[in-house]
Amino acid sequence: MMMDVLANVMSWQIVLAILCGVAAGISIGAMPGLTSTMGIALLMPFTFQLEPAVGMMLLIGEFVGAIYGGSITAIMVNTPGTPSAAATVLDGYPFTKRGESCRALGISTVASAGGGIISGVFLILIAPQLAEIALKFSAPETFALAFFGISIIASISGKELLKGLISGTFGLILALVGMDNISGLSRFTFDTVFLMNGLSFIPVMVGLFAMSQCFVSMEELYDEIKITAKITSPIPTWADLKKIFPTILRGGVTGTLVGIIPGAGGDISAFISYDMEKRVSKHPELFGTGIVEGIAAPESSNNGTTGGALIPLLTLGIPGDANTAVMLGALMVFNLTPGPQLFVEQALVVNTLFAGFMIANVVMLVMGLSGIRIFTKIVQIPKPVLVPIIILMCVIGSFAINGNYLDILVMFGAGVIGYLLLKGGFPLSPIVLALILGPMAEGNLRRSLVMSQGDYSIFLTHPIAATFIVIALISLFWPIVRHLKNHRSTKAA
Amino acid sequence: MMKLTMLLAALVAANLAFAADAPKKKTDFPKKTVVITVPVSAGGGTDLLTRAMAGPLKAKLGQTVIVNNKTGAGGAIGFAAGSSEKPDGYNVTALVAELLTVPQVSTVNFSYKSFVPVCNVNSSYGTITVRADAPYNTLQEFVAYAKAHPGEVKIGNSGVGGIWHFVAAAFASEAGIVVNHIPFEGGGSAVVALAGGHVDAVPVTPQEVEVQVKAGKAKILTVLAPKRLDEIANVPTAEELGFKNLVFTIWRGFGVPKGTPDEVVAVLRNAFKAVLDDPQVTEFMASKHFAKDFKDSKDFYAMMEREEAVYALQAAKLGLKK
Repeated sequence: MMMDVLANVMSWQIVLAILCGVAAGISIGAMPGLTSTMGIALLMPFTFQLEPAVGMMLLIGEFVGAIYGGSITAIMVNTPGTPSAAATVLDGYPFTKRGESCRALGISTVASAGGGIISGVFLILIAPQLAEIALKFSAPETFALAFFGISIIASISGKELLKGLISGTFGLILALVGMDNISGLSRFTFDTVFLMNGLSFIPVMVGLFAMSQCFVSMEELYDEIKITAKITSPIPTWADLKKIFPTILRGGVTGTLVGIIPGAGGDISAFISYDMEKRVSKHPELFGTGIVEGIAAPESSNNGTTGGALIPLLTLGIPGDANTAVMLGALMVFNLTPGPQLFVEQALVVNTLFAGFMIANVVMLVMGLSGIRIFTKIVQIPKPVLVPIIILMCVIGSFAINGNYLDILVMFGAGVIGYLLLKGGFPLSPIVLALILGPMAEGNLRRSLVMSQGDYSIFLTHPIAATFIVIALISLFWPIVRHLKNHRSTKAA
Repeated sequence: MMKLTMLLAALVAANLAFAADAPKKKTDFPKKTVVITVPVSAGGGTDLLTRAMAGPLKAKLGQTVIVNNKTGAGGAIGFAAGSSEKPDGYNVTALVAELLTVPQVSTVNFSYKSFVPVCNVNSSYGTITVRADAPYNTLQEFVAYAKAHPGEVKIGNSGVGGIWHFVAAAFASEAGIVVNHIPFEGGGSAVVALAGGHVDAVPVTPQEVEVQVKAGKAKILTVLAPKRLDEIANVPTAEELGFKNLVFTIWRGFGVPKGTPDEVVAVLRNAFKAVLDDPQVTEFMASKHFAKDFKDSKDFYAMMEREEAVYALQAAKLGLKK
């Protein structure tokens, strides 16, 4: 068996599929607006003519590469290339501003590969056992996870907590636009079909981050502030590696677990890991100023979801996120019906995919590290040239997601709002987090209440749900309690 | 001179080519990418079938075919978006039975009349599928259990006013039981909930529960079809078990916005018809138990007209009417 798998994986078709998949993924991920899910959907028709294992490896390679690729844009131009890299912006861009983009990209590459490989180990060793987690998540649990996720706004708001909360609330309000998923009621749609499905997430995100940044850059277009990128070795230093090693472990495991949960993917897990890392850190106040843990946490976590999302897909036929939902279609076309019997009847294919997944992560590591010197050239492009290129990419990305020109207007609108918020000192990440989690929280809250016939105790009787809600409440109220306690003790003294 | 002769020759040839087609109204459709809007989530039956057809369809039309899921509100978002697209043939919508049911229960700006039907490609039937570890093994036992536990049995559906909501409600009223209907975003999510034990039953098609049945997480108690299905011949029909009025056709077809020129619809219909006979699609449909059921625009429209009346009646009877 071992030799068969090895022979299979080392066949030129599979190797070529992995190389093409990862390269395509990194490019797609780095383009703001083009997401890994879209990449998989675009590549899928090409795979139907291929052998099942070859076709699946192309898709899996793309998945792995794109989740990593998003961080390149996040670090270099302050714009997440994919939603999964939204948390990477927080600490990634400060590195570039300091001229240390080489170091940041090196950390992100190593962390991404590390997270991916950790999830791969879980995928190979205990996929069937872990897959049961996917079955445990129903509406109350998913609501509780989203509720917990929203509480993270507090930790990504930087120094301005109040402004962060305002941003988050603004995001939640934006998330209300569109038909609601339980009763089909139109909200804030002004009788236009365009708004029925809500504001498209990608154009809003691209506008908020990239377009607003372009507006800021226009102000200083001809200023002689030159950011110089120190060309250092792309391979992280031993000191950095030692610092991020535990971060990658935690991120990879968290990512794997979040990836398993249906409907939760790399975007959510990256924020959760960032928040978690800040909590266990000895110097939480440094997060957001450009520290290595702030990149390693989200990047190891979002790539951790790649293996995680494949776990329920292959063992139960339940997609763990949007990417694997598209892959389920591909599996069916290849006549690989997922489930326990897949591991028996198609053991060779499954094991080839497992081995291929690991190789894809190594390929990504090598491609990423060797590409860093090219990526860092971006900052050397003079602003009058770079800014129009970024604007063009924003327009293309926003249009491509639904093929609707109105999305371009949404992107520009979000850009103006993002610019004003930046000027007012409001953090932008909470808006994105709220846009991701708002619909998830709302739909599952209402579904839970339908299940329980209006009884709110459903959130307490489901242990997983109760745990998440309690953690969220503690993390929300602990600062207040601590403040009161300090206040009282200083009074007493 | 040489060039001129060739140009003339080309012109003559072009004219001849035109002349050959002269009686038909000509169209150069399609000239660009065709987008198929799927109003249900990726991974569900309609989505899989559409994606399997998209590849050969691309070869047939000579243009890229993109499948775009616009989900939510029991399909309403996708239908509303699809029906209000430009009627030029480049915006195809996958039509499913929900097109008839959603307008019954919520206020929407579309109906089956908002579309020009291209063709129907597949029809299938629902089931009553329960968890494999449930204490009941037959439909009668399930009904008895539900009678003993009124309001406790949860049946997952693909959205309020979705076809499966109607099917489940019709089943409940026919069986004289009170159940709790749980809406999900698509049949796929409902089946996941069944596998996880969060709902007790789903009324969806055999294809949609196949993975979970094979994995030993679910069992099919009955099929809601006029006769037993070949792929699960050991499962009795509801009619055999004494439930007379529980046959619902779960049809899947394609439509374009009202106003699309007839000749464009004809190009699409011929392409879909040819794709149905494509060996790759045939194999896919056979292996996934999607029964081929080609109906042209006229028959398709007639079927929708007929079934719409049935659903309107059901909606009123079941108290779902808006």
